[in-house]
Amino acid sequence: MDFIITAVIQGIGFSALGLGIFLSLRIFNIPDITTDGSYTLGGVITAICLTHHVHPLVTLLAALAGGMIAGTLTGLIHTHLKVNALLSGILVMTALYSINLAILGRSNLPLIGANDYFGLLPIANPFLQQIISILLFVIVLSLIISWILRTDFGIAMRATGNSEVMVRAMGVNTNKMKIIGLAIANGCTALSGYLLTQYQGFADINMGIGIVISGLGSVMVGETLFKPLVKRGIFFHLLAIILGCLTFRLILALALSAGIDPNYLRLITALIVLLIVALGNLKSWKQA
Amino acid sequence: MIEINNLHLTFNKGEANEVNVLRGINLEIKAQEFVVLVGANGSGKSSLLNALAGTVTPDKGTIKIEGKDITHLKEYERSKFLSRIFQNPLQGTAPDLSILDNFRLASLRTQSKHLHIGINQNFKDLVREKIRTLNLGLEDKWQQPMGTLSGGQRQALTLLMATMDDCKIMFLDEPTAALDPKSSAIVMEKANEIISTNHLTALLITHQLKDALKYGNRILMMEEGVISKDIHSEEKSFLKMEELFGWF
Repeated sequence: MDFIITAVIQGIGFSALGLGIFLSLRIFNIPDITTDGSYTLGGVITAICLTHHVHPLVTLLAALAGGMIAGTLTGLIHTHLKVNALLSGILVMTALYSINLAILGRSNLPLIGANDYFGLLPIANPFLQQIISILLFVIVLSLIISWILRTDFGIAMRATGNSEVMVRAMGVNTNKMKIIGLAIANGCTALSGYLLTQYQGFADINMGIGIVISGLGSVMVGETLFKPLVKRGIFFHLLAIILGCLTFRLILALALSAGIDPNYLRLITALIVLLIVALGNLKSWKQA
Repeated sequence: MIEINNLHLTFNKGEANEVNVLRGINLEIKAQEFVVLVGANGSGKSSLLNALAGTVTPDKGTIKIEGKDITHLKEYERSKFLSRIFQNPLQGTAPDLSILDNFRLASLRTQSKHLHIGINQNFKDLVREKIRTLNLGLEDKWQQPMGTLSGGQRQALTLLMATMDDCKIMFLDEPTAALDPKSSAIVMEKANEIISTNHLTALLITHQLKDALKYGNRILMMEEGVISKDIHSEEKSFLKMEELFGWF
């Protein structure tokens, strides 16, 4: 049972990252590889701040800011230096590895004895405390994002990835939109780093490797399995993605409990994503 | 309203395949003129329109709108002055967004888009009323994604969207090229109606000589990057199909 509880908490914790990937992927048509670096960055900032007894909420803002800066950089490289979006993300992700190592000062930092975000909620049962505080976090985050996406600014943002020519004719600076969008997306990703670092009790320089693929997989699982939700408006679409993150973690946890060697976890992750993408393509091929 | 002075545009400058698409265009379009631009493929019609809209930057020359020099304004900054109808109905709308969202964006063409929820009941009623005037039975479909509509329906809505915000100038780049004859006729009628009732200054590119004769009060012919013919209102009404055909 323990592994299911862990998977559920991890899944909810990863939904901030899922929402970030959703923003960059669905709204801008960019699979943003920066994610690997900004997730770790969020974790690294969290570990450093908390071990220096910075308040968990101030730490939250610091992690968010770190992720947003990383996203802004990818956006600037893509829009102003005209570098392909994928390559821009890879460049920033690679550079972030060194930056993260420099911030952390070593490859692994445990949070022993530090006050954390979960501790802000006065509940004695540690399991309830973790799951309620992490749920609250993700609910507030998705309410904020769904509000942003429904504003006039958000409509312009959603239209940017959908019909760039039209959006420019409507007076929208699409470059600025992409930069802001990637900043928000990576800010969300860093928040996952913030939550997961506290949940697992340490930050690790390698914690972000391959995380973008599980993020992509979670978004796709969510949109495929919970299609009726997706059609019911933006908030429900975000809910489908959160459920996707949860499902994805549960699949991995079940695979592990079935006795699969943890070394094969990334292989399984890649296969799940491949399967979903291929199924989608084969279906549209059949229709055509 | 629009003043174009000695406009030059060259593609692939300095290379073997250099093309002079615009070679010194001088043109003045008065307020409420409805100008039809005809010419063979490659004569520079679309390039002229693109230079006006800011999609391409001219090498030389100036463009003024209402006396203001806009030559160096970016494409998105020019939306304050003009609205555009594209050849491809897919380009004028966002397919995955609802009709309502598309209209909301269009209603802010000349304004900044704030972190403010602008779609309220009043706005919904306004859009529904506007769509009803099209008589295409689309008024109850405002929640549907734009992509579920046909090309003709989308193009008709694009025309309507142009009038959601302050609009004085409209550019139409072969708006019916991708449509069937019936939809083309509907879209051209709607365009004409919107241009005249809103007293717009309009520039229409078309290959349909019938439309070129029927609509507008001035006709321009372009050949190899220059304007070769310019016929104004009175004379245009006497223009015959055979004569227009002879230009090509």
